[in-house]
Amino acid sequence: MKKQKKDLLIHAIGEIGEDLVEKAADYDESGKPETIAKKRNFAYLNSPLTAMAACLLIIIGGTLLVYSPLLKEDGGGVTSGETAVSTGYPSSTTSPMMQSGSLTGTMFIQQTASPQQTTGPQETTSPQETIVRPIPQTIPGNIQFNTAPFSYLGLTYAQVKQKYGEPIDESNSLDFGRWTKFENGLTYIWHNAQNTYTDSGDLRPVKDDAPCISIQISMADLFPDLPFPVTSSALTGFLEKEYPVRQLYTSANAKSGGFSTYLEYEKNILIDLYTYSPTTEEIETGNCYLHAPPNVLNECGCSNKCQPPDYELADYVVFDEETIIWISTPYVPELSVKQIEQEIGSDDLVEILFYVMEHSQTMEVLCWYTKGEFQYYIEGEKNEHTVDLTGYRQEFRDWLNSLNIKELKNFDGYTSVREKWVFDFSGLKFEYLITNAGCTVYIEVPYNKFTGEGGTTNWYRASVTDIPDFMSW
Amino acid sequence: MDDALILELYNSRSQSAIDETAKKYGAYCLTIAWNVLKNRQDSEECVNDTYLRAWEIIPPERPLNFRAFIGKIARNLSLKKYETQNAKKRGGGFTAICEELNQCLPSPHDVEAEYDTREIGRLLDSFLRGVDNESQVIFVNRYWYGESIGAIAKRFEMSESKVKSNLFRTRNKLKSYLESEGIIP
Repeated sequence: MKKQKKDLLIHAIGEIGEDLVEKAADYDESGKPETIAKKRNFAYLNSPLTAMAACLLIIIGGTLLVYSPLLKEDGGGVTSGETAVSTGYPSSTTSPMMQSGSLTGTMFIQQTASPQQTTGPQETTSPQETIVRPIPQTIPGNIQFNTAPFSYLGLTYAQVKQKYGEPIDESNSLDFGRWTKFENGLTYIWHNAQNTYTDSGDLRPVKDDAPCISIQISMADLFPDLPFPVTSSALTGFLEKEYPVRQLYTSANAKSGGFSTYLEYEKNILIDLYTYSPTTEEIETGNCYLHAPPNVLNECGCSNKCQPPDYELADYVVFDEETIIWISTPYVPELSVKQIEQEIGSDDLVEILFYVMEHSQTMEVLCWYTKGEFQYYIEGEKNEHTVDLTGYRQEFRDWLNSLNIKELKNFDGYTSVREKWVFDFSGLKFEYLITNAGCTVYIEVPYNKFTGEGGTTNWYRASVTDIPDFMSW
Repeated sequence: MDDALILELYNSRSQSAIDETAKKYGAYCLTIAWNVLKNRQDSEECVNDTYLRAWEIIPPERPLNFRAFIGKIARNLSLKKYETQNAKKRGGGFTAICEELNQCLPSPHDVEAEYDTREIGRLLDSFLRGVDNESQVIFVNRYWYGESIGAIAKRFEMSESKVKSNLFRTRNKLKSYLESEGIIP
């Protein structure tokens, strides 16, 4: 039977020999898979010494599980105080794919499932998503910040002030946190872990040692000959003609009407130009925005028309000290990841971080790589980091309104990203939304959703404990 | 119950064949369906359809490997349902799994015009028998069973990045293989 090309291989592999299928399954009679370690007869697992060490680890793990709620994963809607280890799947339907636990040198604890999950798999709860996860290396209250990526620009607030004088404008931004404009016309975005507003609502000064995480520039300034109005094809055509772009990707965003264009100038340099449903005025003035690496920015002049767009989301990829990739739309990351994987190779990429926001009709999750081990949780899987909330909008809002908020903190740009939410996802689809490194749950929500106040775009972080079932995926 | 006895139940048209199948391979089929559909109700529906399909075709079919046989039915039915739904709603990782494999076929080439799934399947079979054992099993787990990277990583007790790298290399080999076989120019 002829198949569409896009399905050809996935169907064709269904035709491989049954012995290969059997071999890959490798189940025992009870339907549980043998672990590869077992299959390989790893000597260390069979040795008495290792067995003792394993027992010790299990005891420690059990102790930690019982006595340290901070070390308990909360992914599926954990009720405070629960310590039961559950597969989240009834024994009568235990997934044969599910590995019931393994000891690989890293201590694992099993995810404690929600009561609903213990009665059977929920609609979106995979049998194999009943996770055996590494005990997190960071716990709430002792989060290990990694500020190294933010210093790659080599600029601090004090240094920029010294060079360009006092700021001409500065504020917070929904997307970028604290930003400052200087006379040089560039807008600098700072990483600032401190609250940027005082209790009385005044804007705190930026710390002198706040590292610059981004610089913004008007596309019109960078590309003064760019024809307007800016359309995707016009931009693409112009850039292809005028600049030595090795590869160029354009990603239309049907919902917003905007588009993103990625320019790969040379290996390790990929910049993201994007517009966002530009208004007539923006088109006329060319006030569309560009995120670009500093080595590009440094070669251009610009006016002071740069302002962070008020709703665009952005994240970026760092390959080295001079190269950034911005990823700014929900559907682009997987494309970029694939390109990154193919063009640059994962060896040059390192850590990956997710960032979740409610936006439009999707829950957007962006990715970020930094130095360190390359943790590849995105997997290029589109739906693993694009959550369609269409059917849950009201529930989501209701839930937000019902949160038992323990604290509210300013959410300034990438604060949450630094908190390493991501390294214990273990393949869970949406765990990152509701899981921190311990049992505390963090989620970014717009301030006005808590208070009913409008007119502000500040985002806050809520620490919550109860996750609704519909978000437990 | 031994597979041979279950098959005997099918052959004698005993409805307990389905019960025994469900008892032994229900979870197996459910996982396969789940990996594609990511939806409990749909998955269970597919599993029930799998039993029905098995009931319809045994006899005359006499599967030598009943588990793989019934797993294949579950997979095909799940794929069919998946395509029907077009994976628009929370298609889970299976969309990506398809896309990963699609990378092995360049878009300019209209493969479908010349080959059908069975022909390609035979080539895939041949290809997989030529790769190392670990790559073979990882590949089948990913693309036949639709297992997530995380699940495979646990299963193989390796990092997810290593699984990804392994799959990436195997896909590249597959692409080269398909080229050498004339599937891809």
